[in-house]
Amino acid sequence: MKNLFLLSVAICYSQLLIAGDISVLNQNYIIVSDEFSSEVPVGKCLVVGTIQETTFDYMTASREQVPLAGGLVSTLDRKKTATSDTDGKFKLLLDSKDTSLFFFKKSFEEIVIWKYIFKSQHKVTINFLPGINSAMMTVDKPVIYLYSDSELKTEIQFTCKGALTFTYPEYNDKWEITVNQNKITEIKSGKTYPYLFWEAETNELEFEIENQTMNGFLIKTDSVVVFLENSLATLGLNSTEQTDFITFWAPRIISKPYALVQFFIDDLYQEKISEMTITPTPDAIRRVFMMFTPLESEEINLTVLPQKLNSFERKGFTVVEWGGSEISTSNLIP
Amino acid sequence: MKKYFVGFLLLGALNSVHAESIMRNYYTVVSNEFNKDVKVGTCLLSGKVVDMNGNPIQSGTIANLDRSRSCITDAKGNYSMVLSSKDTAIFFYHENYGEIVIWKFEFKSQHQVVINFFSDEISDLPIMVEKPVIYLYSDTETDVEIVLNHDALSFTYPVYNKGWNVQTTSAGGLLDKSTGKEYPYLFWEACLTESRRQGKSNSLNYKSENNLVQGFLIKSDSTVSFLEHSLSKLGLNEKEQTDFITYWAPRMIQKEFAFVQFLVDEEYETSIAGLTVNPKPDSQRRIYMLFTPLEKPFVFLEYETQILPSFSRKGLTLIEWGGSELGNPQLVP
Repeated sequence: MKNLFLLSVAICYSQLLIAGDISVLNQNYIIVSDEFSSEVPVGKCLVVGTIQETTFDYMTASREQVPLAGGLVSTLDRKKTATSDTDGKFKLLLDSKDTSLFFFKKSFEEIVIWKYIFKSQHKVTINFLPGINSAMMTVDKPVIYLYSDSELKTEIQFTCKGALTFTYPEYNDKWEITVNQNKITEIKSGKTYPYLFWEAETNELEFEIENQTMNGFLIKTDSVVVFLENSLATLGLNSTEQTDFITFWAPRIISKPYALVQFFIDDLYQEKISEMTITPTPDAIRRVFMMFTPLESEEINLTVLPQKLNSFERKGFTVVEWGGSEISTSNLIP
Repeated sequence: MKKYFVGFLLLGALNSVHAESIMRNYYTVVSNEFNKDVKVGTCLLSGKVVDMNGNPIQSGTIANLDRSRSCITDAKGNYSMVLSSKDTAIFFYHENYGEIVIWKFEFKSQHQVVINFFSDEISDLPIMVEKPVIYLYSDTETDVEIVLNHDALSFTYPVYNKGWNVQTTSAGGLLDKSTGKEYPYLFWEACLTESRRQGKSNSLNYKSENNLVQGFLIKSDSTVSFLEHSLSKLGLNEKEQTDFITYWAPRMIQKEFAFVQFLVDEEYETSIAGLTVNPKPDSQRRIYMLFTPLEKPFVFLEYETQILPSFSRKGLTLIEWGGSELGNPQLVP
């Protein structure tokens, strides 16, 4: 589906491009002009422009641009900001030292202009053409493994953020199972499963960021396998759990050259993702949730400090859960 | 005017929407009027088919669902046909354009209806050969070399270097000789192109014979039981079934219905990827699932229920499964 999605965007932009004699740096914004203006003070650069959303008229099968009000245009440090008016217009006076600018409006895709030289005494006209950003995120594939040396009757209940979209075996207020070695048997059906599975949709997930600082990892995705193997081994996942994790997530992470990664472990998992009650209480439990955003560039407006990953020791009745979610970049611009 | 706009009402609500959610294929009912010149018990249908840029679409088929009445659009995209007032559904079909189905329309006796279709050209979309995983089992520790005959691998785990060299373990896992680590299965992923033009190389679509396809049209709320049943029949054990179901079922329940076809063994070999295994397994089962989520329980192709071959494990056993979501199940009718 995503492919279709991108295609339709590409089509409407290509039509736009034919329409005007304009220089294009990126598909979702257009530098219309960049000219000397004696009215702009020395050391400053005036940026004006329009924010437009593309709409589609079904009666005439035509696309058109309509102004978007209330869009935020800002430098990355947010020292200079402007908001678009009802005509979609904005005006912002930058320092000629500024090099980046972003557009943000909730539920639209964010647009970042990198490394632009805003020349002193210049007036730059930039039009932003944001697409819509679907806000729902999937809490993907949490799987729960249970291990016990002797047969153990177990009951599991959890409440997750958002709405459950799929569970396997079916979750009806609880899972009632017996655990023996690494096998899970559902009491009701007598069928065995290697793990319990659930999935949910939410719009509440965000990276943990404080003062533009985040404990996490900014990785080059060509090393994602090694990164995940090391991280997951440190966190105490065994080879089957690691393989299940890596084969699920690595193909998605490598879609772009860089990725921002943060793990929610144990208490944070319980608080942010899913509150789980297991009876009897496990002797050892490890829950790992990976938040990540694929990135085109490693330049982000965040300080990323290496997240400390603590180890974990399996003993007795052991429970391991992992899941993850791809977070859109707009969550980086709160 | 108001009564002509039955078809419009829905569209009217969507009249102005974000570009990304553009409905690519749709229709408008331009008029629906009594005409005494139209025979009792029939309804005269005419209109125009254009693409999303307003250009006429020639040689498209307009027909009722059983195709007992059909016509072809002319160079200007115009069509005209006589329907029975008992007809309740029609569709537009063209090999290169998105199909459009009009459901439950009342084609009244002695009426003249004008319906215009707007259809978008279909492009060959890249599709992922998703998550083929290969399990190997043997009662005794056995060294096995596996070579995949596919040149566009996008991800493998563990690393694939002209082949995998592994040793089966008693626990049902695989010891990879190059990393020295144990894995539950081997994983690969690749990219192909979806094309409804048959026989195009490196493309993937439903397999048909004489325009007849074997497959399943399922209600997606029965996806889990359908998969459990089908995969059991095909010989997957509970662990393999769980891996398969937890990967695919969440994707298959996106819409109310789904069309499903399994490519098994030889079809997997010819359509997806050849596999050379040394020594040759005593038993081998490869299952590839093609599916398309559908809004309506309707596909353009003629299909019959697929018969799934059973399988029994013995000695060195190789199991592989993978799948792809296809956008267009439709073949030339």
